[in-house]
Parts: sequence; structure tokens; C-alpha cells
Amino acid sequence: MRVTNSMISNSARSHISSAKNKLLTAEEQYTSEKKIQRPSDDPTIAVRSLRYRSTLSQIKQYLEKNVQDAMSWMEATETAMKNINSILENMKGTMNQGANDYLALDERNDVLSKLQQYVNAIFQDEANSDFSGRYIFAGYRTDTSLLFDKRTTNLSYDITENFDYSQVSSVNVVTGKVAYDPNADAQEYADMLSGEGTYPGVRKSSVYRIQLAYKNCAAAGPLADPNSTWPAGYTFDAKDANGQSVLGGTQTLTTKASTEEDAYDDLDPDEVRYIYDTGEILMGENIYQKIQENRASVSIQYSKTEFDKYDIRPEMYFQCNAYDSISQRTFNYADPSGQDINYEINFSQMMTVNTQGKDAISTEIYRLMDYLTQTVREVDDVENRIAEAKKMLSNATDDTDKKNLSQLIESLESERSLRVTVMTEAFGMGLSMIDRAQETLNVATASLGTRYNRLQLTYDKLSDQQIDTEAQLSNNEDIDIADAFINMTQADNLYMYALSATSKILGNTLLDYI
Amino acid sequence: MPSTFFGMNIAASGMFAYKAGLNVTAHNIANVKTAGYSRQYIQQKAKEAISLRTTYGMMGAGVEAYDILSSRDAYYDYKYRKTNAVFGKYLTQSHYMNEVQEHFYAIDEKSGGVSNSMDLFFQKISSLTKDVSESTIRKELIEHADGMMSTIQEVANSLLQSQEELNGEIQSTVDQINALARQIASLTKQINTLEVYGARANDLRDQRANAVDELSHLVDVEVIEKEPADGQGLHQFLVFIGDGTLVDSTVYNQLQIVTRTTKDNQTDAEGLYDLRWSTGQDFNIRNANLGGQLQALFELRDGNNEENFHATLDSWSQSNDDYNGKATITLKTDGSSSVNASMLSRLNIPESDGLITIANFDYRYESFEVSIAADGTYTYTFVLAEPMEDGKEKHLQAAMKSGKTNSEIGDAIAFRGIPYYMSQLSEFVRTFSANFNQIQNGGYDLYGNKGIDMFVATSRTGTEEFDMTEFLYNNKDGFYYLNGCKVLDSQKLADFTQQGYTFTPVNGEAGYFMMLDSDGNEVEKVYQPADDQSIFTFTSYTTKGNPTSYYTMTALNATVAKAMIGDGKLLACSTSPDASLVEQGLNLERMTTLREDTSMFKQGAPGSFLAVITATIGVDQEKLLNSAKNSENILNGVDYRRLSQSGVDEDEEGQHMIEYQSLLNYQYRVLSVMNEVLDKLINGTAV
Repeated sequence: MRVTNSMISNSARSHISSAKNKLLTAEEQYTSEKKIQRPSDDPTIAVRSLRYRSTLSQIKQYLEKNVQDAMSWMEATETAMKNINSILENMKGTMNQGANDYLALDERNDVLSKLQQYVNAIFQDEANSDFSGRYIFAGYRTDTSLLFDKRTTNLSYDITENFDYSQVSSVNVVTGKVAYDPNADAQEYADMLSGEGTYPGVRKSSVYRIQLAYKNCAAAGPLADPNSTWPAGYTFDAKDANGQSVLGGTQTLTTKASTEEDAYDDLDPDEVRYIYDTGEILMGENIYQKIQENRASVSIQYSKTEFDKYDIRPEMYFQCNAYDSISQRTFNYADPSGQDINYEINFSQMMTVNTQGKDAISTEIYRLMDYLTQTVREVDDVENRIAEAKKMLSNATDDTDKKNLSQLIESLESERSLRVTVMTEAFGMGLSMIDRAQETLNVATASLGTRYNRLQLTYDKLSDQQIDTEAQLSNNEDIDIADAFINMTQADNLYMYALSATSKILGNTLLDYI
Repeated sequence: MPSTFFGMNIAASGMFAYKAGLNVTAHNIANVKTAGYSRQYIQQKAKEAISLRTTYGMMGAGVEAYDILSSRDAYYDYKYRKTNAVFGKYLTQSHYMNEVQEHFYAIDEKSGGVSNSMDLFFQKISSLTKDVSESTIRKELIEHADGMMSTIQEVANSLLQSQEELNGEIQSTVDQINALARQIASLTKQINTLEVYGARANDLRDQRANAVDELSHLVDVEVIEKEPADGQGLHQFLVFIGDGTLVDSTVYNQLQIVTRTTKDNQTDAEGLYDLRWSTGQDFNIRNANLGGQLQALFELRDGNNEENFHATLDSWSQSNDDYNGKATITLKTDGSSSVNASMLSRLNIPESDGLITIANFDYRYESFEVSIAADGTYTYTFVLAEPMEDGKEKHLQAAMKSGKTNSEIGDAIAFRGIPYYMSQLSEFVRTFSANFNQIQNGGYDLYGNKGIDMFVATSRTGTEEFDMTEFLYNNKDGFYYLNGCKVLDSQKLADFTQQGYTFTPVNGEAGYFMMLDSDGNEVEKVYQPADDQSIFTFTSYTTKGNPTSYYTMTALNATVAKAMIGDGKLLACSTSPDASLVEQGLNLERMTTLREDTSMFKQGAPGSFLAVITATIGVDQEKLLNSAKNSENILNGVDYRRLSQSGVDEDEEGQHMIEYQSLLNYQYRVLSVMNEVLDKLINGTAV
């Protein structure tokens, strides 16, 4: 074939150009450390890269952010719960002192104030714990503390509180008292105790009782929602496992204040009585029997306004409605159960990180202090009266007076012994309440622990996945730097050869020799 | 007896011939680098001998150069031009597609891209699950949503810009074609003027061939050269492109740019060009054999992967009272209709100024209304821009009668160009936005209000945001969903009723019912259309304040609602209207599931949809690059052979030069010998 100079020069040009292209590709690969620069270089690699990169970015999010934050949250919760548990343990010791020992007045108050400190520590310090500014026990309301942070009078609540049949306890209540009366004689002092004659007497009666979460509740209601669907009075119902009322329907409560003389007396077997100032529900024999027989759960509706600092916010524990008298707004709070804060910790996998206060910290302990204080105060009170009477006796000169006062002291001692029994029982009840509180707490801690373990496993799995995916991504699109360098050097050499060949070929023609 | 000086004449004839040879050689050497030049050579023969009636017979009269030819093979020219048209097409296509593909693929997580921006968005959703109450993180999430929409808009805008550039390049290509046509015709005229005297105008022919070569890069050419039948007179030179004649010897045609007043696709740029011959004849830009850069430009500009709208003619009205007495044409979708005619998220016909083609006649519409039936049939009522004259109605009647009821908008172009990727992006934003908004609307924000739309369509000027109506088809359960509520037509309603479900109306929301199971528990809110034939209706035009369909949303105008950008609290993370439950993130959990929601697209989850686009464009571009490379190689091969035939070789010419020099020298020598002989005879022998 006839070969012309321009053919040679064209072909040399195209060789140089192709060598340059190769050099460019090799250079791009070497500097970017990637096999491809654009999808057309290799569509399969491009699409795989997209997928791996998307997966990797998500894994990183889970691993470095979500899982670790979930762990921190759970650790904060666990610390708080551990603290509560050891406080409860301390309370038990103190409670034993109160229950078993015969204590002097000062010592009793000492025990009481110690217990109060513990309870304060549980609620004010631990239950109000926060994790980076969010309250960990407050369910979905992480911006609201579990307790009122100041005395609050503008909010009134209609509360629905539920109890388990086992929370109905039989307690002894001492009513009536023996008191000094300048006109009373020995017989009358004896009657004051026994209840004969005109005196109601000092009586120990056994009642079936539920303690509501709050004291100083409202006598009448509802208070909150002007358009409330609630019935006019407070109601009480007990339902079995199938949701059927065991009482044949909703019961209306009778309302009394504890200061009323017969507050704890004359309970009709079918009566349910609401002692609003102490926040107690008393129930008659028949009602109690039905509840126990059917293992029914009890639901009570009542109202409360005026909350003290550190009172628990009702919406954290109960289904309730609230009315704000300042903003004149009504808030409907649903049953706070199941307010699980879920973090996405893996692909389409959510993990509940929070523990709700209501599931871990029982309000019973909170009310326990009221009950203990009340029984201790009553003993204090009768002891003061005895001391008074004894002083009068030592000052008395008249024999009749002495006889009367001796009888008074005797009656008072009897009253005291009744009240001490109730107080001791109260401490005993406190002990079992703390056991129950610990049990609740332990269940919550165990659930937290299980979730934490799962989280740990997820963390490990994600770490593995991250390494795998990074390796796959790298295998897929990263170039081996040594290879790249060799490729580039080869391309460079090729280019040099092309240049030198061209310079030789295009050098001379016959014309140069003419 | 020859003349005494006859020998000198013979020497002179050699001198003339070889002088001519030397000049041709010089001319060749001078034109070594001239584009399109082909090597010339002289034709020589012995001069006619003179019969001298002598004893020794005929006396040779020397040599004569009778012609100068150029070494050119028409076959290689033909091959070269055919290949050049193919090469020009692929080169142009791969050049533009290279830009497009880079929008869909980012080399690493820092370099943008639609996929990356979506990954970031979902990463933020995941991040928010642990900080539901944090308005700063909510704001970050919304900003990432905005980032994702901005990225899509940027891609869409650059696609639009590419379309406009392509349109501009069509104009300049047409200008070049016209200029070349003029040049070819004028060269032909010059050639004819010269050749009428018999000689070949080699250099002009080379110039003309070169012009045709150039033309063949722009558009596939058919060249016919007819020599005069009797070897005398003028030759004919015809150049055809597309289905018309560009050059007829000395007469040329010109292409004209016609700015369209209609559109083929919803997202097309304004004022795209059509072509027409200057004679007024149509020029078919869709001709599959157009070839060259011109075909590439049209395919890139208009390529829709053959997915143009087609549905079946149902009825028409010359004066429809429902539409102010204007003429209307009603189309229905059926099994033979295109997918994008019966899928809201893919519908991309223009809002107005589209052309419906029915049985070869065009009907221009100014707006349309769509009704979707429970069985998935879409009924389109197009309001025509002009009154339908009786003549046009007859065409429709004829079409109906002959069964030619297929009605199309836009052309089917078997190339994935700008409109294809634009409509893919639009399908993505529409579907993604509708799915997200459906969840967002179903939840409650931090104020305790129902979530507002996060992704909205905006008016052309971007100042108005539209209220979107979520109408979605769930690929998994086969139900339509309107505003997040299952649509139950009378048949499905009857089925559910038979299974013991009951329905109670929802207050204040016509058509919406609460479905209750046999125990009276609420199952879900459902929508029962009054008419199964029309479960959802929308129009092409949108006015502020009226809810609009996702047809209004395209990749060009989808954005995050301004209100949302300003206020993270508006993100509806909660499923409860209780605003005090700040950490409630159950609705947010539903948002996280969108990432893996394989029922969202036919191609699967949103990530897969984007991956498929990337793969498609990558494979296409790989093919285009290979084709460009291959055709370039073939072109080079043809050129190689052509150069072998026509190229000037310096060595050869050098050789010729020396040869001609020696030959001339010999002639001089002959002359000198003749001279000596005559000198002797005349001066020496005379007494």
C-alpha cells in the first residue's frame, strides 16, 4: 500500500492522543484514588458505590450518634435508678428503727426527718434527673420536670387514678381522744376512753383504704374542664380483667374531711368514702370483698387544685384534664402509659431508650411519709397530753383531783398504746411498701438492662458492618495506589515513546536531501 | 522528410511536458498541508507521429502532457461521509450526556449530587429520632430537605439550560449547514464554468469535496454527481439531507429556524426550534436517518425514550357548555395507552399549548382536566385553543370510524435525552414529596396542629406556594390513597361491609368515613367518592388557595414550604395532638421508613430509583462513548485509505522532482546536441 507522510503524521497524532488519554485516566485515578470518575467509566461500580455510600452514611449515623446517645441516656437513667435503690435500702433500715424500737419523741422525729430527707432525695434529685437538658423520667414531656418546680395554684386537675386490688390495704385507725377537762371526774375519763355515757370514746377501727396520690384534694368537682364529660360528683369503679364492673356500675363517693368526728366510723358495707383532705378512699366490707374476689382494678376520679413545690405533676402519672385559670385553657392529657422514646439504632430498627417515672418510681412512697407523719404526730400529741397530765398530777394537792388525774393518765396511756400500735403498723406497712417500690424499680431496671444489652449488641454489629461496608466500598471504587502508580508510570512511558517515535518519523523526507 | 528542425521540436515537447510535471510536483508539495487536497499528477503520452512516407515509416513527434488529474476515489469519499455522520452524532451526544451524568453521580460524599443530598436528609431524620424535642435539629432536618430540593432544582435547571444550549446549537448548526450549502453551490458553479472548456478543475473539486466532508459531520448527506451523458457540457452535483435537496448543482436550499409556540413536554424550555425549508416545505426533524450532529442535537433536546403521551379518543364537542362553550376533546386511557398517561406522577404533558395529534391532524389545547376512576382509567378533557371547525370535526369522525383513535402528544423519540431525565426527576420529586407529605399531614407538629405540607410546588415566579393534594397509588395493597385515606369505591365498600365493617361519616369532611370493625373499634379513615368514575379530579391550571395535584410539581419548581424553613416546630413528628408531648416521635418513625419503602417506586425505594437513573445514564454514556470511539476509529481507517490514495507524499514528490529535473536536463541535452548538429551542418559544412 502506498503510505504517505500525512498518514504517518495522522497516525502518530492519534497515537499521541491515545497515549495522552491513557495518561489522563491514569493521572485521574492516581490523584483521586478512585477507579472511576463518572458513571460511564463503569456503571456497575458507580451504582454499587452509591449504595455502599448511602449505607455507610446511615451506619455512621447509627453507630456514632444514635446508638451512643441512646447509651448515654440509658446510663443516666440507670445511675438515677441505682441511686434510688440505695436510698430505698437506707430507708428500710431507718424504717426498721421506727417500727421496732421504743423511741423517745426526739428520736422519732429524727427518724421521720431522715425518712423525709430520703424521700426528697428520691423525687427532687433522682426523679427529676435530666440528660442534656431533657428530663429522663418524664416520658414524652422531656421539657417538663416530673415535679412542680414551684407552688402552683393556677392549675386545677381532674385526675383518673387506677389501682390494683392488692393496693387496697386494711389499716387500723384510732379515732377520738382523751383530753383534760377541769369538770371531768375519773369515771368520765374512763368513759372518754371506753366511749360510754356521752363520750364517743377512743376507738380503733379497721378500714379498707386506698391512698390517693395527693392529699388536700378538692371536696367537690370537677374543677378542670367547664365542658367536662365527667359526672357531677366523684366516681369510683372496679373492673375485672374483662372490663366488666364488679360493682354493678360506677359508684358515687361520699365525701368527708378527716377532721370530722365520724370520718372513719360507720362505714356502710356498700359505701365508698372519700376523705379529701388526706386523700384517702375508704371502702365498705362488701365493696372490698368484691374487689378482692374478682381481683379487680380500681379506678377513681377526683380533682385537685393547689399544688405544692415538688408535688408530682399529675399528667406524668395519670390520665387527667387540666385547666389553667390564667390562660383559661384546658389541656387534655391522655393516659401517659407507653410514652416510649424510640431512637433509630439500626436499619428500620427502633429502640426505646427511656423509662417512665410512673413505671419505675412509685408514688406510694411519696404518700407514705404523710401517713407516717400523721401517726407519729398523733403519738406525739398523746404523749404531750400525758406529760401535761403528769405535771398537773405532781402539782395536785386535792385527792379527788389526784384520783381524777390518775384516771386521766391511765386513759391517756391506753390511748397512747393504741396510737403506738397504729404507728408501729404504719412503719411496718412502710417497709412492705418500700419492698414493693423496690420491686417496681427492679423490674424497670431489668428492662433497661436488657435493652442496654441489646444496644450493646447492635453497637458491635454496626461496628462490624461499618468495617465491612467500608471495605466493600473501598474494594469497589478505590484504586490500589501501587497499581495506580505503576499504571501512571506505564502511561507516562507510553506517552514518551509515542513522542520520541513521532519526532523520529517526522524528521526527514527525501526533500531534505535534494 | 521531416523538417530540419524537427528534432528540436521533439526536445521542446519533452521540455514542455516535464516542465508541467515539475510544476505539478511543486503544486503538490506546496499543498501538502491543504485540507482536502488530493494529489495531482499529469497524464502524458507520445505525440502523434508524423507519417513521412519515408523508408523508415512513422516518425515520433515527442511527448505531450494532455491532462492533470487528481488522485481521488469517490468510494472512500462516500464511506468517509457516512462514517463521519455517525461519528458526528455520537460525539455530540456523548459530549452533552457527559454533563448530565455528572449531576447524578458524586465521586464522594462531599461532592453533592442528588443521592448524597437524600442520604443526608434521611441521616437527619434518623438523628432527629433521638432529639425530637430539639427545634434546632428539626430546623437542621428541614434545611437538609431544602438542600435536597435545591440540589434537584439545580440539576433540573442545568438540564433546562442544556436544553436551551442545545436549541442554540441547533441554530448555529443550521447556519453552518446553510453556509456550506451556499459554498458547495458556488463551487459547483465555478467548476462548471471552468470545465465547460474540457479541463478538470481539480482544486475546486477538492474544495467542494472538503465542504461536503464538513457537512457530513453535521448531517448525513447523500451526494449524487452526474457527469454529462455525452462527456460534454455541465455535470450535475446533488446533495440531499434528511428528505430534501440541499444543493442542486448551482442552486441551493436553505434551512429556516421556526420558533415553536407549543411544547412537547411540561418542563420544556420556552421557544424551542423547529426547522423548515426556505421554500416553505416542512423539514422532518424526527427523521431517524437525519444523522450527524443535527440529529444528535434534536435527540438530546427532545429525547424521551419513546415515552410520549398517548391515549384513546373517546369523544369531542364543538361547544362544551361545561367549558364556556369551547371545543373540547376527551381522551381515555386503556391498555394500549402510555404509562405516563395513567400515572399522575409521570404525567408530563404541557399545562397548555400542547398539540394533540389524532390521525395526522393536530389539535392545540389551552388547558385540560383529568378525572381518575377507581379502576385506574384516566379521562382527559382537553379544552381546545381554537374553535373546532366542521372540517376538523370531520377528521375526528373519520378517525373514529376507521378506528384510528390513538391520540398522541409529543413524538416518540428513541433516545434518553433531556426531557427523559427531567421527567424522571419530576417523577422522583412528585412521588417522594407526596409520600413524605402524606406522613407529615398525618401527624402533629410541636404546636399540636396537623402537619402542613413540607414539599410544595411553586408558581413560575416562585412567589406562590400551592397547597398539595396527596393522591397516591400504593403498589403493595393496590389501593388509591387520597390525603392519606384509603379510597373505597362501591365495589370495595361492599366487600368490606360484607366482612362486617361499618362506616360512619366524619364530621365536616364530605366523603370521608371512619371505618369501624365489627366490635365498633376504629380501623382507619377512608374516602368514598360520590362517583366511582371520578375518585380524583384535577386541572392543568392552578390558582392560589385551591388545592392542587402533584402534576403541578416538577423538578423545576418543587421546594420546601417557606413556613417550614422558618420554623422547625412545624415538622409533624408526633401522632398525638397533645403539644406537651414534646418527645413523641411516632410519626417521625414513619418518616424513617420512607428510606426503605420499596413500594414507593416501581424501581423500589427512593435510593434505588436514583441508582437506576445513575445506572441508566452511565450505561448509555458508556455506549455512546464506545460508539463515538468506534466510529472515530472507522473514520480514521477510511481516512487512512483515502490518504493512501490521495495524500501527497513528500518522498514521492521529491523523487518526482529529481526525475523531472533529470528529464528536463536530458531534453536540454537533446536540444544542445541538435543545436551542435545544425551548427555543424549550417556553419561548418557550408563552403
